[in-house]
Amino acid sequence: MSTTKSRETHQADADQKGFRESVEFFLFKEARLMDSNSYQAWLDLWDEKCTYWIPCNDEDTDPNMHVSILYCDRRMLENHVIRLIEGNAFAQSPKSRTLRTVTNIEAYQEGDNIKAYSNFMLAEVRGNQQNIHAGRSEYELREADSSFIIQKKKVILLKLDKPQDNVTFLL
Amino acid sequence: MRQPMNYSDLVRPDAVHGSVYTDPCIFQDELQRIYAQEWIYVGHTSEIPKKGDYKRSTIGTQPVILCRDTDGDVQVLFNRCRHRAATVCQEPCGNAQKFRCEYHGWTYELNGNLTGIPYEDGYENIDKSQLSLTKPSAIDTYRGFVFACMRKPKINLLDSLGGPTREQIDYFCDLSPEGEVLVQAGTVKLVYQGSWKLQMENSIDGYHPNFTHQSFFKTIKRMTGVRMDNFNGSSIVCVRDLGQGNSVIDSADFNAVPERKAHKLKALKRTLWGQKYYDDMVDAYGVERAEDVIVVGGTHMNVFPNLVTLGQQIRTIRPIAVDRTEVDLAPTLLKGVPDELNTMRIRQFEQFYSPQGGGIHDDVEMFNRVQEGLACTMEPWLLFQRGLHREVTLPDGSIKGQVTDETPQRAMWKHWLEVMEKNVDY
Repeated sequence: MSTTKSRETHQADADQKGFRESVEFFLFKEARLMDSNSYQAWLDLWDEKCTYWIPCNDEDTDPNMHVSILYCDRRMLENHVIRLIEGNAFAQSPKSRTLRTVTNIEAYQEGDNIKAYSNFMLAEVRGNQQNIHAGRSEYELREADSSFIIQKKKVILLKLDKPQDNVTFLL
Repeated sequence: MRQPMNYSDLVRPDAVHGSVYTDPCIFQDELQRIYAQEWIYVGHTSEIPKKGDYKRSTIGTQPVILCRDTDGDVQVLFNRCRHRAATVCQEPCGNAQKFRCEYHGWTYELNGNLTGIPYEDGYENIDKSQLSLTKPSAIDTYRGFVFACMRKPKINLLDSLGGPTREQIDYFCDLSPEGEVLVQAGTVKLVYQGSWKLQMENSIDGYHPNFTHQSFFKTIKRMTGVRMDNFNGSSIVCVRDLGQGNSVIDSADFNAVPERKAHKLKALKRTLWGQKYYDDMVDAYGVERAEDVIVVGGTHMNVFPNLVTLGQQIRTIRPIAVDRTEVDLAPTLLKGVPDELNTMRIRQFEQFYSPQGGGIHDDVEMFNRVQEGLACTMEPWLLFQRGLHREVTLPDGSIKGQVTDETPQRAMWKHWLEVMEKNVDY
C-alpha cells in the first residue's frame, strides 16, 4: 500500500518535529471545530477543490462504482453543512454532542503536498445513550497562510461494513 | 400457554393497535406465520455470479447462506451444522469450495450435502445423506430476485407476487438495456430500535416527505433550483395497493405529463453517454417502452414482507427483535450501460440513503420516536384512514389513492391480518 511505503521511505522524521507539531495543531483544531459545531470555520479549512471520502464496506473501493458512506466535492460538502445548520435535519434535532480524541499523528512532506495520518476515538451522546465511534483519517494538505488547507480527507471507520446507527454528525 | 391472539381485534380497516409493534408474543407469531410460511426475499443472483460465490442472509431471524453450487444452481441453506448447530459460514460474502464447521470439522458441499465427518467410525450406522444442511421447502427467482419459503408454499412465487407487482419489478430491471440489475456496488446497512413494520410502512409513505425530509428538499432546491412538488396533497402522483400486501408509489401519470417527459429525456440526451444509453434502450425495447421505462426511472414499491425496490436501490428489511430492525440498502448497477450512468446512480443514492446522506436517517429518527411514543397506551390506536373514502379500484385489480393517502399502509396491514389469521403455528 502506498501509505506504508511513504511512511517507511521518508527520512529524517526527527528533523521535522516542528513541522509535525504544526500539523498536529491543525488536526486538533479541526477536531475542536467539529465538536463545537463551528460549521463555517470547519468549512473554511477546506480547499475550493476538495474531496471528502468515507468508504463503505471496504476501505479501498472505487467510489465511482461502489457506494460510500460519504463521497463529496466542495459543493456537496457545503450543502452537507448547510443542512446541519438549518436545524430541520431531524436526525440531528436534538444535535449529537461529540468529543473526539485525535492521536497517532504522522505527517510527511511530499513535494508541495503534505500527507497526514491520524486515529480518532469519538464519543457521541444523543438521547440517553453514549456511542463510541473509532476510525482512521488520511489527509492531503497544502500549506497556506502559515497553516494548512485540506485538499483530501478519507475517513476509515472501524465499523465501515456494519449496520450504522445515527451517524449524521460530522465525521 | 398463552391464549391465541385474536388479530382482527388489533387490525381494523382504518386503524391498528399499538401492541402489534411492541408485543414480543406477536413478534414470535410473525416469525412463525409470516417469515416461516410466506415467500421471503433473501438476495439477488447477481450477488453470487460465479460457482462457489456465497452471501450470508436471513429468513426472519434465521441465518441462511445464499450460494451458487458447483452445478451453477442457486442454493439457500440454513447456516447451522447438523451436528451441534454451529454456523458453518462466517464471512458476510465470498467464494468457497465447501462449508466446513470449524467446531468438529463436519464438511458440506455447496449444495448442502454432508461429505465429511471426522473419525466417522465413531458413529454407528450414520446416514450422511440424511444430514445435509437444511434448506427451505422452496426457492424460486423472478428476474434475479431470489425468494425462499421455509414451509411448503401455498402458492407459487409468480402468483404470490402477482401481475401488478411483477410489472413493477420489470420497470426496475428494464432500466438496463440488457434487462439486468447488478447488486455489485456494495450495501449500506442501518439499524434502529423499532419494529420492522415501521420501515415497510415508511418506504411507500407519500405523506411524510414534505415534513420529515424538508431539509433534503431544501438542499435539492439550493443545488438544482428544482422544487420537489410530487408529495403534496394535490399532486397527481398516486399510490396503489397491488394485492398480496404489496404497494407502489406510482409516478407514471406525473412523469407522463408531456413537458415533464420531454424535459427528462432532453436532459438525458444532453451528454454523449446519455444519448448512447437512450439509443441502446430504444434498440432493446422500441421507442415507446424505452421512453416509458426511462421516464418512470425505476419503481418505488414494497413487496411484503421484507423487500423494497426504490429508484436505484434494493432494500431488504431484517427483523431482529420486536423493537430492533436492520435494513440493507443496496444501490444497483445497470448491466450494459455507460459507467457514467452507474456512477450517477450511486451519487444520487448516497445523497439521500447513505449514513451521512440527507434523508434516510431522518426517517430512522421517526421510527425511533414512534417506538418511544408507543409506550403511551391510554389511546392505543394508530390511525390509517387517510384517503379511505376516495380509493378507486383499477381494471388490473389494484386500488388507487392519492400519493398522500394511506392506501399502501392499509394494503400491508390487510395482508398482514390475513396471513396472521390464516397461517397456523407449526
